[in-house]
Amino acid sequence: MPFVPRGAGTGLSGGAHPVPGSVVIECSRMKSIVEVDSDNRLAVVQPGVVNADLSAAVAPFGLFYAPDPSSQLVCTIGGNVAENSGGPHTLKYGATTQHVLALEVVLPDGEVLRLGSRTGMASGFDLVGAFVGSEGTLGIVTEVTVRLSEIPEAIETLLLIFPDVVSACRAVGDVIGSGLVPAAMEILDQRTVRAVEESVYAAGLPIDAGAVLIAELDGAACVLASQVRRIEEIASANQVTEVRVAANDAERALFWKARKGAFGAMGRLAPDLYVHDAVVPRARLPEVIAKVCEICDQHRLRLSNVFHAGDGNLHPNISFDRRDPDELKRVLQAGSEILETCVAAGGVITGEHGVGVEKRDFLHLVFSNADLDAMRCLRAVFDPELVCNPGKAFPTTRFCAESDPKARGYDAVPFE
Amino acid sequence: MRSFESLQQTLGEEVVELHPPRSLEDASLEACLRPRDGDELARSLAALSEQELSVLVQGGGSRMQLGNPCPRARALLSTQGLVGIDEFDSNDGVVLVRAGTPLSLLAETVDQSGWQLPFDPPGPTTTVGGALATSATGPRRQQFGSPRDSVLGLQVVLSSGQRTRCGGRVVKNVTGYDMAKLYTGSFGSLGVIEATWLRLRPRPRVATVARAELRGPASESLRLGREVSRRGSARVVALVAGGPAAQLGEGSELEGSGLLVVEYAGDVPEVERDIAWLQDQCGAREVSEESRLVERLRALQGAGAIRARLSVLPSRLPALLARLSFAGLGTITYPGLGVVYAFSESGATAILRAARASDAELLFEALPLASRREVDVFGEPGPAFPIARALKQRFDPSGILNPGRFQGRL
Repeated sequence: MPFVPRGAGTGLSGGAHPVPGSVVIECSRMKSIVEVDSDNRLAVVQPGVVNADLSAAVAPFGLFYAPDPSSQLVCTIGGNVAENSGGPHTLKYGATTQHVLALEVVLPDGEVLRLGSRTGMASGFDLVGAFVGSEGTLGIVTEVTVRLSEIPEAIETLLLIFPDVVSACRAVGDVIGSGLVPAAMEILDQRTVRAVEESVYAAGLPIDAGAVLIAELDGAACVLASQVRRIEEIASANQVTEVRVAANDAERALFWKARKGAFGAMGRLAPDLYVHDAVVPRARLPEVIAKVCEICDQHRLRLSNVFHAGDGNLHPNISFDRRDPDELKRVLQAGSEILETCVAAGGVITGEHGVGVEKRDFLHLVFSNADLDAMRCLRAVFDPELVCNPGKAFPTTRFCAESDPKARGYDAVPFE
Repeated sequence: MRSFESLQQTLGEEVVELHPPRSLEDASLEACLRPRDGDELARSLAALSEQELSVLVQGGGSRMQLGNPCPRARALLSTQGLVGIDEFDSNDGVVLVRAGTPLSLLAETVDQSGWQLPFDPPGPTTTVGGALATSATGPRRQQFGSPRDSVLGLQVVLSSGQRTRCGGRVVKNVTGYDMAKLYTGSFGSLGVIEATWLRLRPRPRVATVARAELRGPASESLRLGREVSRRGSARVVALVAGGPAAQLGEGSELEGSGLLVVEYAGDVPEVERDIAWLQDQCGAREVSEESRLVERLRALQGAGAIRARLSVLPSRLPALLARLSFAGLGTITYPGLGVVYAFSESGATAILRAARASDAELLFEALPLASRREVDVFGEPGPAFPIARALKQRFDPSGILNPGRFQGRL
C-alpha cells in the first residue's frame, strides 16, 4: 500500500500531500533529541524534532543547528532532510545536506538501514547525500545525526535602502564578486515593504523604499567593522539611499522581523498567496527580477518579491483570489513563464521548496529524459514498487508541462 | 583483438589506440581510449557497452593505486582529452570545467580573478574529474570541507553511453535528486564524469603559515590542534609525527609529540590575532613563504608506498594516535577533522590492527598490488552493501566501468 511520510506539513511544494489510496505516516511523534555530543559538535535526533528546538537545546554549549528555513519554529528535522531545506543563512552555512552526517532509514519493505557515519567520512557510495532532498520517495528517515556549528563570536546586521530592486540586486552581485561571504543577504521589494509596514510586523522601514536589503555578517569581531564598511561602499556605488547598522540585538531582531514577517503580512493583501521558488546565477538577478515583474504586470497580477538574493534564490509571490477562475488561470500561466525565464537565464525551478506535486511537470524544463531516467534508477533501488510517496518529485507524463491546475496541487475549491 | 579493432573502426584511430598487452592494476590492457569531447566519450562508452569490454578509467593517473585491483578491464579510458574551462563567471565564483582539466591549470585561471579552488589534493597531475571521482582532499580540507560540498552540478556519461546532467550552475538547488552526491567519490563505478560546475571560494586577503615543535604528550598537542581548528581562519591544522615530521622539519630529529603546522587565511586583523594567540600558546613561529611548508605537507600526505587514511570522532584521536605511534608508524593528523594519515614501511598489518582496535574508518590510499588482492582498500562493506550492489547493477549492468575497483569489489 502506498504511503506518504509527513513531518509538520509546512512544505511548500505539496511533498507531504496525501494521495488517493495511500496512508499518511506521521513522524512528528518521534520527537526526542537522542544525544548531544558537544565535544564532537554533533547531535542525534529523531525526525519529529522541531528545527528551532534543536538550536535552543544546544545553545548552552555555544552551538547551533545552521539550516534555518522560515518555518523553523514548526518544521521538523525529518522534513528538512526530505526537502534538503535551506534558509536565509544557507549563503554561508549551506543547506541541510551539508549538515547531515548519518541517517537511520526505513525502506519501503520494512528494512532498517544505517547510512553514513558520525565522522562524515564513511567509505562507499554517499547514500546519505543521495537520500537528503529525495522528498520522501526513497524511504522514511527515523534518526538523523547532524553536525552542529559554533555560535559566531560576533554578528553585524545591516539594513540598506535602495531606490529600486534592480540596484539592490546589483549591490548583492558586487558583494559576492568582491569575495565577501556574508551569512545572509535578503531583499524585500517595494510591495513587500509596504505590506510589512501596514501589518503587525511593521519594523520601521520607510514605506516608500524601492527595495530593502538585509545583509548579515558574522565571524571574528575584529574583522566585521571593516567588512561592514566594504558593504557600505559597494552599496554607495549602487545608489543606496540609507544604511542602518543594528546597534544591538533588539535592533537586529527588528530588521529580521520585517523579513520573517513578510509572508504573514502578505496574507493581508489577498485570500491566497502563491510563493514561488526558483534560482538563477547571481549575476543574472537584476535582469531576471525585471523580467519577472514584467510577466506579472502583463498578467495583471499582484507580485511581491522577498528573496535570498545572496544565493540567487528568488521567491516571487503572487497574491490572488482562487474564487476568481480567470485570475487563477493567470497566476498559473505567470508561474510557468517565471520558471521558463529562470531556466533560460541558466537557473533551476526550485532552490529549497522541492519539486513535490507543484513542479513535477516542470522538470522537463531542466532535465532530459535521460537525466530523469538516471534518477529513476536510484529510486528503483530503494523503492522498486513505487509505493513511497508516489506521484511526487517525478513528472506524471514524459512530455511537456501539464496545464491542468489540479495536476499542480491547486484545486479550484471555493474559498469559504 | 578483433573486438578492439572494430572499436577502433567505429570510433576512429584518433580515439582508440591499440597496443601490445600491458599490465596495470592486474588488468591486461590492449587499448587506450582518449575521447576528446563529451560526444566521443558517449560514443566510446556505448561501443564498449555493446561489446561488453571493460575499462579502467583514468584522469591524471595520480591516484591509480587507490582502489581494488581491476583484473577484468581490457582497456584504459583516459579523460585527459576532455580539457578546458567552458564557463567562468568571475563575479559569481562559479566555473564549468571539463573532467580532464588538470587542477593546476584551473587554479591558474581562477587565482587570477580573486578566487581559489575548493580543494587541494596532492598530486601534480590530478585532474578535476579524478579529484571528484575519488573525493580527494588535501591539508586545506579543514576550511574547504569535502569536495561534495563544492560540486554544484555534474555532466556524467553512463555506461550505456547516455549523457546525463544533474544539479546545475546555481549555488542552491533542490531540483531533482542530488545525484552529484552519488557520483562524487564513487570511483567511476557508476558513470564517467564529463564536466562539472564548481563553486569556488574567495581568495583570502592574507595567508600565513606557522609551525611549532610540540614537546608535551600527544593528547595535549591534539587538544591544542582542535582548539586551533575552531578558528574560522584556520585553513590548515596538522600535527605531524615520526617519519613525515623528520622530512618536514628539515631533517632535525624531533622530540615530543611532533610538529604542528598551521595555515591561517582570512582578513588581516583576524589572522594577526590568531597567530599571536598561537605564539602565546606554544611558541609557534611564522615561516617564510619560500619554505613552502603547506605544499610540502601536501606532497607528504600523498607519498609513501603504504598509506592509509583513518577517521574517528576528534575526541577519540588520542587513543588512535597512541596505537599508531606505538606501532612505530609515521602520521599526519588533522585534529579538527578526526583524520589521521598513517604511513608504514613494513606492511599493512599494523595499520589494520590499530584501525580495528580504535574502531576507525579506514581507507588505504596506497598499498602494493599483492596486498590489495587480499584487503579491500575501502574497508569491509557495511550493512548497506546490498544497496550499493543494486546501484552498480542498475547503472552499469554489464559491469564495464572499473569492475572490481570500488568497495566490496563492485
